[in-house]
Amino acid sequence: MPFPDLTAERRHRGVVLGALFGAVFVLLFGRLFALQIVEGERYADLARRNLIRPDPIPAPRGDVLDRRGRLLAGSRVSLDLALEVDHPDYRRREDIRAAVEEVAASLGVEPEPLVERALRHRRLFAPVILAEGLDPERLGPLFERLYPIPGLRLEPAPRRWYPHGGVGAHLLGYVGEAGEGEVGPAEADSGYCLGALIGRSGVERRYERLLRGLYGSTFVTVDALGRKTDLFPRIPPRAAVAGNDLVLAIDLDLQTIADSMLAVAGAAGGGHPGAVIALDPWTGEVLACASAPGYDPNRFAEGLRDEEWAALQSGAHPLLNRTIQAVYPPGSTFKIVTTLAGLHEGWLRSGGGFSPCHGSYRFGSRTFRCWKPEGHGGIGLWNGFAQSCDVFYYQIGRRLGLAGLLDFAGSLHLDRRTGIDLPEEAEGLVPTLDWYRKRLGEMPAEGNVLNLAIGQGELLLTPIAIAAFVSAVVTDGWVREPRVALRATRPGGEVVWEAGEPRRLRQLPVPDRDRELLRSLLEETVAHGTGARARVEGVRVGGKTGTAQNPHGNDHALFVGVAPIEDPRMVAVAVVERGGHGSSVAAPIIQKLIETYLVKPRRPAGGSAGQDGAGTASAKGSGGKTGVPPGAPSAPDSAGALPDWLELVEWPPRQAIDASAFGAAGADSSAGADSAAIAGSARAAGALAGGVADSAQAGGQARDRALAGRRRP
Amino acid sequence: MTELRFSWNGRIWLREPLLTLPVALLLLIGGAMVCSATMLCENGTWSLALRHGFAMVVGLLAAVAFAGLPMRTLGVIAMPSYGLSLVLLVGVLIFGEVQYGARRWVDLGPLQLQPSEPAKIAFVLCLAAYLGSKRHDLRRPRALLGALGLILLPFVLVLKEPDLGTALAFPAVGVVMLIWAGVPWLTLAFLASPFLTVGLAILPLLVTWQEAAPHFVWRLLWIPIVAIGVMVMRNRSIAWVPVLAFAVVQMGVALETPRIWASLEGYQRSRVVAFLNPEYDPAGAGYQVIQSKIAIGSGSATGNGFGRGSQKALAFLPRRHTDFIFSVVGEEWGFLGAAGVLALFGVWLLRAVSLAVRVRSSFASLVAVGAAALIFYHVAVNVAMTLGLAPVTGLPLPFMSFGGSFLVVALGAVGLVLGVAARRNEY
Repeated sequence: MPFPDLTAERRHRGVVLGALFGAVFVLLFGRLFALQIVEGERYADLARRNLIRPDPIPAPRGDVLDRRGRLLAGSRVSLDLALEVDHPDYRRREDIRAAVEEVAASLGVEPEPLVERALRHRRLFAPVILAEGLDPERLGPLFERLYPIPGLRLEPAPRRWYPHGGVGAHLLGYVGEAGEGEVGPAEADSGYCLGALIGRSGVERRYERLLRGLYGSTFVTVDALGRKTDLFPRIPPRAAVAGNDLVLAIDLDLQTIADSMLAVAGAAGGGHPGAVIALDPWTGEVLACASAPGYDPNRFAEGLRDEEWAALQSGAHPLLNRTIQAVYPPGSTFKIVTTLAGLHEGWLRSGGGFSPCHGSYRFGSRTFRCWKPEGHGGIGLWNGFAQSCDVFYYQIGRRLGLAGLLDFAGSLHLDRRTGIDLPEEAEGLVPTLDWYRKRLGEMPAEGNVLNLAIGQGELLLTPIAIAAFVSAVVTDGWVREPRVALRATRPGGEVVWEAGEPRRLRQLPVPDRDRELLRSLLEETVAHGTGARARVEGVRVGGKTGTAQNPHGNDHALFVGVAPIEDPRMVAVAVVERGGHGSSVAAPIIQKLIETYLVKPRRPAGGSAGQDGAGTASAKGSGGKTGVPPGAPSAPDSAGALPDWLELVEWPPRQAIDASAFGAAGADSSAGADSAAIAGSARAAGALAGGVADSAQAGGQARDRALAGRRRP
Repeated sequence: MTELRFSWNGRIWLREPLLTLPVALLLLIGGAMVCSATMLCENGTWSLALRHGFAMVVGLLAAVAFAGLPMRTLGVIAMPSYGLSLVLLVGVLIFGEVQYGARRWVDLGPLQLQPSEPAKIAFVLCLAAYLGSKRHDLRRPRALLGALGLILLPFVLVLKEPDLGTALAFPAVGVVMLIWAGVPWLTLAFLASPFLTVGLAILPLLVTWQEAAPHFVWRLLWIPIVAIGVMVMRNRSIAWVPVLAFAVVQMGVALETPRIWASLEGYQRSRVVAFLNPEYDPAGAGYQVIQSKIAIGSGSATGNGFGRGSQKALAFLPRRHTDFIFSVVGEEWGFLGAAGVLALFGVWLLRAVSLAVRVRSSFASLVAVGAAALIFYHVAVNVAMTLGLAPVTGLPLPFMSFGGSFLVVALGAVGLVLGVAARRNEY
């Protein structure tokens, strides 16, 4: 029917609607009455005496494993001693003070700070931690003495444990405790309980969502003042959900080698900052990622003192992951680009028509030198590249012209981030004419091309960008996104996330035959040129050395290696700051990596899991292993992979870190953006071992406690 | 003579005390409760109270705006604003920020837009225009289907966010408006029967408190009900086609419901179960309801005093300044306060309905009823939730809950009703 215009009809419906509203309201009123009047007393009583407080059960964090399932980061349960200050026996402050003093006496520590903390916690109605990380051996007698003290209990607290200390520290990252802004309800996506572990850098941070679990709750009934009562029926606790395990593409053997060799590379036997990165060029998987100086992430788990934290932030910046966050002048490794530019224009293929090298080259009013003062003599493409003759490349640069070289370099997008799955990757710098114009206010001088052609001047690249670029050159010309993590699995093994197919980012504008020619040039460099130190028996290795001039001191050493050159399975880049010549300092690192990866027979996976002192499982949940001491010997598995002049030492027992070990050197003050010189540089390397006590003089004995290895005497 | 221009209609605000005073009082009480609930919690500052005040001002502006618009203008903007709100709802599904597992908001820099809220007003206007138009004879299926379509579109879109509580507002308000528009009772029964079937299909899943094997009997109960329905319809000489359609729909619903139940998010399911038996999960979903009941109940006859609630029961009630604001009233002002608040709502609602009976224009009448139904739905569900009579849904209490979007919408609804009151003699 049409809309009931008739008021009577309307009124009828109005009554119906009013009745509907009324009925619902009557229901609500009734319920209100029932709750407040009829049962008011009971509820008031409940309110006074029956409030439920959820106490969080921390969730075990997922393990981080290398590609063969070996543990890189795990959880262990540390035992903390806690006092429930809201226990009914602690109505008065004096009672709390007495109890805490007794505990302090048994532990052998100063009572005052603990008493203060306990009194502060009284208002928070949370148990106060009196001692952390108790040694399970000492617990027996300790508890016998302290047993009568009411409200004292052992709290299992999850701690993050890195069984290999500083190996891969930058890659793995470290964890910290959740703060005010991050605490939230467990069912929400982002809620943590107070004090839960959150990844702050590296893989721990990047894959936080997968690694973290969801905390659970036990339900405690308390009265209005927060004190425990027992009047509500027992509510079963809600279990915590464990985090997922993460499998990385990293190979622990290669990683250990990279870290160890980087620590001792360079002049004065080590201690130079640097970076090593190794990729599988077809998949982008990161096989090793090392940065020096480093640190022991276990220190973060145990709590840093202020001076330790300050030391980490200054000097050589050990927290910096130099493979992705530091930019370097590529030096002679950039000659790969210059060569490709020349091939691209076509005239370089024949390789002829170049003036011989006598050690220097004149351009305008300036003289540019070759690294070999006596010169190389007659040069063509083959020996020009293999011997890295600067004069040869000056000539190429001139023929390309500044615009030509910059345009080609620009088309390679070397300064773009690779998108590796680690946080805070830096961008490089490949200048353009516009860039020069803006900086100088005028057109740049043509002479700049000479520097750029040999990789000096306003060029800055991250090691990962170099590795990704070279990977593309030696494969099919596609730049692939590097990836650190492969998959995440539930503790039972079910896969919850996979990295999937390798991701292609862009194709280099380099035709097949140019790339093939370049592969041959790389092989020639190692076979007959400056890359001799990278030779590996039985493997065809290709590479390019680089020595980047450093106005503040020694040259930086670089090397890019590819093996096997006919079917590349590894591309690795090593940078040693102020290390000297790439051929002698950086190349041996790559050599060892290639040898281990391609030549050494593989141990079966089961064997390595057994031998590895760290084990492939870690303690999760309160029933598991408690407190495996940080002094556990590490990876004997890797021992066989090291060069024979390098031996592994046991981690020294945990000691105070000498702040000066981090080399905030007053003396050598190259206060520029690059690292300052490090006095006693070996001590910085020693920090990786989890503690350096001796402040011996630079060089020599200070290396005794070096990271994971030292030179055999 | 019909007025076509916007007019302030200042007098109407004074001439309709039953529409203005309750709202004013509720706003004041709400403001006080929000202050009490927020200032005494950890982030206690004035900032939340100020934001509430700001939202009130914006809402009052909206009320004035709606009150001043002529009926014809409302009729003109009805369809476009409905279309726009559908677009925004789709937009939020695509671009929305995920928060607590749901996409409800779109972040526009300084503003956050929650399209499901203004969509309610647009919906009321559009449905009112549709039903009030003489072109649509609601006895004919086509017109009825059109109305159903208007209801279902926003319902489905909001349901996908997922936001069950808000989504149900559309059918709830829509049904009331259909009743008002004169849809025959039998047709309504026909329309309502699938919900009955849903209830019967779900009930066994809930009654056993576990999402395991339900009682066999309950699962098949829908069959005799459908059979009865078929017989009744044949008795009334309804053609076979609609009868069969009815049977098929019922069967589909009965079979689909367990599947949809299984596909609900865990927390949604546990909320429904917790509603029926809060003690089942006193730690999770049941926790809030238990705490709310304790808080309200402990208020007894006269309450514990303004501002005192947080020291006792309310300290453990989360979201007490938003969804559970009524618990604050109950705890601090007791039965007198809580019943008083309900009475204020009741007065407003009854006045709005009586107005709707009297106005000339069918469109205006439907607008008034729709606005009233919108307020009623929220009040009923929210208060029932705090009392443990409905599952926890996250619906705010009009005029009182902290939360700008809905406050503005609720005051907009008030403005609509006032506008209808001012123009009761227009067509």
